[in-house]
Amino acid sequence: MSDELDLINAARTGSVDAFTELVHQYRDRLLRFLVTRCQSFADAEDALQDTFLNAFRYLHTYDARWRFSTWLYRIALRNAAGFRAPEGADPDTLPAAGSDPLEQCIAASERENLWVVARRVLNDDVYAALWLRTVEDMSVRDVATVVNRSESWTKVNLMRARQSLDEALSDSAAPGRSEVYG
Amino acid sequence: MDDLETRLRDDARRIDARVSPELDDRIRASLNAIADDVARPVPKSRPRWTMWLASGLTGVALAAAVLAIINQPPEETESRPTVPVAAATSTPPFAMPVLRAESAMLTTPLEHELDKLEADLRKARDAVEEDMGITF
Repeated sequence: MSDELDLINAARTGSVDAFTELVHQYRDRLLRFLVTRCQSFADAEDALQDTFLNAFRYLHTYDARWRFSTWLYRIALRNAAGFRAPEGADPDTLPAAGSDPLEQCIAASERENLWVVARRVLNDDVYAALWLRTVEDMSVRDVATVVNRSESWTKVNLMRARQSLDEALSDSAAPGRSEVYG
Repeated sequence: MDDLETRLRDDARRIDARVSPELDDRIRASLNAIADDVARPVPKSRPRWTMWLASGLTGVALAAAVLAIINQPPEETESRPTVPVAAATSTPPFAMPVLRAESAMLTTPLEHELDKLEADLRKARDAVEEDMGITF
């Protein structure tokens, strides 16, 4: 942690080498997160580049009381919003089936990736909160900071997200159920 | 850690997204491009206490000025030379007309009128009583 702080302080003086060290620590984790939120893999790469650029440019505003990853994910989330389809977008303008970057990054297996299911049943903020809590192991407080919501909202929606996923999984586990009960 | 959480972590690991060397180079190049801007020292803002001190002093000075204005004794009115306004305009002399008024006996016609009305009222009452007697 102190190493990270040393790198941040060095980067604040304009050291690209120090900031590149930070980039190497976070680039793959951030790209994996951005892939789940952008319309194409190229968009996710652009969002990643913008995230690091903005972080470097505004590094003097970073408050060391917060975890660096929290600050970085917040910037990434904001950048990813610029690469998402607007609400109520025309379905014709959406990427064709099979071009989904998340599905491209998942090796074929016998069962569906839970994050694909999660993206289907959860809204954007809840999805991001669930990712940050389970994959990045962030505290509820940090998750709330990244998604710009209250801690109580985050707790409640994390619990609902698990319930929604459980229901979605139990539905998919019993494929004949919808045919029987309509 | 429950089963769902384990599966979520495992599935996140199955998302194979890695930064390509080309993207790495792009990021490095763009960081180099703005390194000079980042290295430029940010002008330090003045300490906050000076702002409070300045605004406090301004407030005190303003309050003192308001008090001084309110408590200022009224100045003595200077004697100004009187300007003869009437002399400036010439008005024609107004002649008061002679009014002739005579006292009139206004009560007599009213008394006659009252008598007539009472007579009409009596006639009307008699007519009504007569009609009522016929009817019932």
